[in-house]
Amino acid sequence: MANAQQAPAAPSPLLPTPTYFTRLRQRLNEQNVIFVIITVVIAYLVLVPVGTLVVASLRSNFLGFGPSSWTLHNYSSTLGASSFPSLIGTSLEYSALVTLFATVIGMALAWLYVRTNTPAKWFALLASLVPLIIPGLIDAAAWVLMLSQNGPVNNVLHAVGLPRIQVYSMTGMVLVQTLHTIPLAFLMGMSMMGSMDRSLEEAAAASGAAPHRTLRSIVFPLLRPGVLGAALLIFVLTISSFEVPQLIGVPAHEWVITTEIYNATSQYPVKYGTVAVLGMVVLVIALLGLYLSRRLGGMTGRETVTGKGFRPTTIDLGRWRWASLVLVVLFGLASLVLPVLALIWSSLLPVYQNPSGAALHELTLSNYTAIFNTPTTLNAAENTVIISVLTGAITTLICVVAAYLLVKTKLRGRRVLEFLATAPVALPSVIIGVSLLYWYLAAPLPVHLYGSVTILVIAFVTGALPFGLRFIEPAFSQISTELEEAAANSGATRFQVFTRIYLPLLRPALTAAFLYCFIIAFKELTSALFLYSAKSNVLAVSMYSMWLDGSYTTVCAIGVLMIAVLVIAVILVRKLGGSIHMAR
Amino acid sequence: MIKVSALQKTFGAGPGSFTAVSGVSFTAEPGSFVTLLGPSGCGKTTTLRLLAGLERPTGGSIHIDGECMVSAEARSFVPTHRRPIGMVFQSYAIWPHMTVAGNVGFPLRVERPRVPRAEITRRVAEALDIVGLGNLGNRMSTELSGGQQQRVALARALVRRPKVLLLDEPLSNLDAELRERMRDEIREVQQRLGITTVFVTHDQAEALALSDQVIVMEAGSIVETGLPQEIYNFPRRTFTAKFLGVSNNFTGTVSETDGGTATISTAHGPLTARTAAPLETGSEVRVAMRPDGFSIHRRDPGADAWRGTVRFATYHGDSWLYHVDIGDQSIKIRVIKEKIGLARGDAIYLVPEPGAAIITQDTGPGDVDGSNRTHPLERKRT
Repeated sequence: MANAQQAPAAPSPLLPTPTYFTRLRQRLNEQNVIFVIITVVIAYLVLVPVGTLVVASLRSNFLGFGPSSWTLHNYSSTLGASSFPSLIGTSLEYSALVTLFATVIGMALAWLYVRTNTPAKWFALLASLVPLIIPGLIDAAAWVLMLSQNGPVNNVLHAVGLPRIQVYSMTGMVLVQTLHTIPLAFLMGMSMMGSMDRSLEEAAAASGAAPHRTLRSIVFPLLRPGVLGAALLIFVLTISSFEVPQLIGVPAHEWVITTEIYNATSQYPVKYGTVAVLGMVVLVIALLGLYLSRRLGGMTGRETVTGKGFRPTTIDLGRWRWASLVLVVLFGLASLVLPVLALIWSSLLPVYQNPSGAALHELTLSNYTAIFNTPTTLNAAENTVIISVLTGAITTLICVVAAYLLVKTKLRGRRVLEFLATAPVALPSVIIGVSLLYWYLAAPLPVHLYGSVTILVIAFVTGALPFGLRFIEPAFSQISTELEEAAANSGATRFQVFTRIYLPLLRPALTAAFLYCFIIAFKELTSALFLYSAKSNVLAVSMYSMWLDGSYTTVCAIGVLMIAVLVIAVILVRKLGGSIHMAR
Repeated sequence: MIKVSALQKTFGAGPGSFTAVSGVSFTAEPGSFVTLLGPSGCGKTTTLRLLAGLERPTGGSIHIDGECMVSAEARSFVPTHRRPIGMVFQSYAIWPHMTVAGNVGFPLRVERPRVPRAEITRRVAEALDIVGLGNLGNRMSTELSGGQQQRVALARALVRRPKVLLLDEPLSNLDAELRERMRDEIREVQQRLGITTVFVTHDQAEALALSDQVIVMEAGSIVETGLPQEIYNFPRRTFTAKFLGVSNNFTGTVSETDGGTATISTAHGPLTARTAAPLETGSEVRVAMRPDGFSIHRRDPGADAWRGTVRFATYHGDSWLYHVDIGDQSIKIRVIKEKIGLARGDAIYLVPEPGAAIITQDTGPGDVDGSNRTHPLERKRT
């Protein structure tokens, strides 16, 4: 100590000044290089589909032979077509109805789950979480079979004096998509209501407000922005949805934008310009909806989460408990139990028939043995597994590096990186599919990717990015920067800090991100339908073509196996990677 | 006036159940400031929430001004919004979608029969004046600092002129300086309005500074009740003594009794305590000594001095605190106005001041209330 005080102010030859600065510069460079690489990768993934779509919508003869020029003709012809108003009308009607029903029912269930003493809460949670892994195609298939004219559901409806439901109709479309969407609304409502400070309501009671007044003056106004934000997000996801409109809407001649895009690309000659303009319409609606959703969502969140709540007090429903149980059970039946039972039942029959005593004699495992004896299906299954694992791993890797740069550094371009990585939420699968198809057909690239497994991985990673980031980024921000500083003080390099400190602490979040992205890729039909080839076929596409061929029971057998594989994967990965919080 | 009788609250049922409050009874005189003091998990907040009607008791009753708020036996329960209370929450619970005036005026807007608009405006202004926020009525509540939110919460609790004011650790989220200022303001407003107040805290300094009556709680039960100065100077329970920082505890036997004093032999030497009730010679007792209950000597003053070694010392501006090893026990000694600090390893001699020892009882069932208090301090209240 004494020596240090007496040391002259002039730089001492013992002090490592030059090497220190060199090291600092090197370190910054290292970080910058990684930043540039990751930004370029994400920008490529995100900007290529959007750019291709914009260009295609403005070219007179995109991907065609002969001259091509810049034009607005695609817009005027597509948007001015006589069929366009009814197309956009059907799309909006379908999306608005699904949004309304799914939001109202999902939020009501979330309120029952979080704030009341409704019985069988575990069942409500199970019925909301498990359907998230059921592919939309399989869900739609199960409902089509259940709602067949003399099917079990319609027979029950008829027996209690209600009209039968014609599944191939707007009603059927809205019904099935609503059931498919309620779990999402439930989960969003659950996190929103769970994080609301209870003392805000208690303060109203202590101010002399009766319970209904507290609901009206305090609870509803506080939840309103969050609920509207959630509703807008659901609207965006619904207008981008493809499976239900394709399986149920198209046979009923109820066309929405996504099915029209697919239809237009499967007819010859392909009207690339029209397809691109329709894609732009979905993109604009999605961007607008998400922008509003973010603004509204940002208004609740933080403000209502203040201080620490006391022991959660639940509202006593009294006699209404049993009414709420009926609602929970109906929801569980509709979202989970009935579809899965229908799938299992159908998968055991050579040809579909409604459940009856006579049909019991025909039960057989032939569909399952057939699957294992069909090389193309086995090949598709292999592709699906490879693609899903790659998608999960690559997305998690990109997201963990991106999240580190976003949360733990002060790099100047990181807002751009964040915007790019979260933008694909507004990028419907249909657009990713169409645009990548165009891009890899038209772009003069050294490697020929069209029809390969790689192109599917690229498409799925793009779509999965924002979800991966949603798991990893909050987990990163919860880890105090002091932990990194403490490790650096102990002599750890930046790489060692990352691998020894952050990765172990992030393991649950990384597991969850991997799992979620794996499931997204495993289920994905829409973009695959545009990009698959004979050698890069995946299960979802195989099932779709079998469905068109009328092999309903085989589709159900594959569906049962897919759900089983996903359930096992979730349990296994959970065991390996610690606890996860789905869709948080 | 608040009367709480045999209050009990058990969460859950069967083997997983947890009794947060058990057999709690006390009376808060009209206009008095009563503090529930204890460590976290002692049941003080649950007791307050039972008073507010935010929880239903599993036993006992609560009366406010003779009116029954809840009685588990009579199966009657007045819900929170019909109780004559005002409450300030630990998190303040300021509604973020309303202005300051909107927050403060809410209790009047929901009152039935309706309060005329002009009167609401007048009383909101009055309440804001009381807490010193007279000019901030139109501010959005989210634009307020922590201290201002705290004042809004107080104004909102007072605006309907409740019979009882309930305060749930309202100072714990403030920084040290602001906490002291708000503490003084709360006491000033409470005395000016003469409102019966129940205050929950784990901070002994707050409890001593504010209260007319301190109720010490541990593990769901009342340990001791008394005036702040009684609780501080003559704790009856070992728990209270420890909780209020009387950190030196010994075990000894009564060797001699002489009217108001008793001599207790401990392993280190004798101590003398003042007693009101007679103690039996030879009985074993727990004794507490304050850190300032000893005089300190560098040389052996002879007679009853205890010999010890300084383990380490900390400086507190107005005093030094020495951690001294005596035998196998470490005790804390406070020395005020000492210029030269003693250093580690120094040998010192401690002489217990006559009558400074406090005889305490380990916590047993039931409350030791003021009526059988044995110390000679005169009671100011009955």
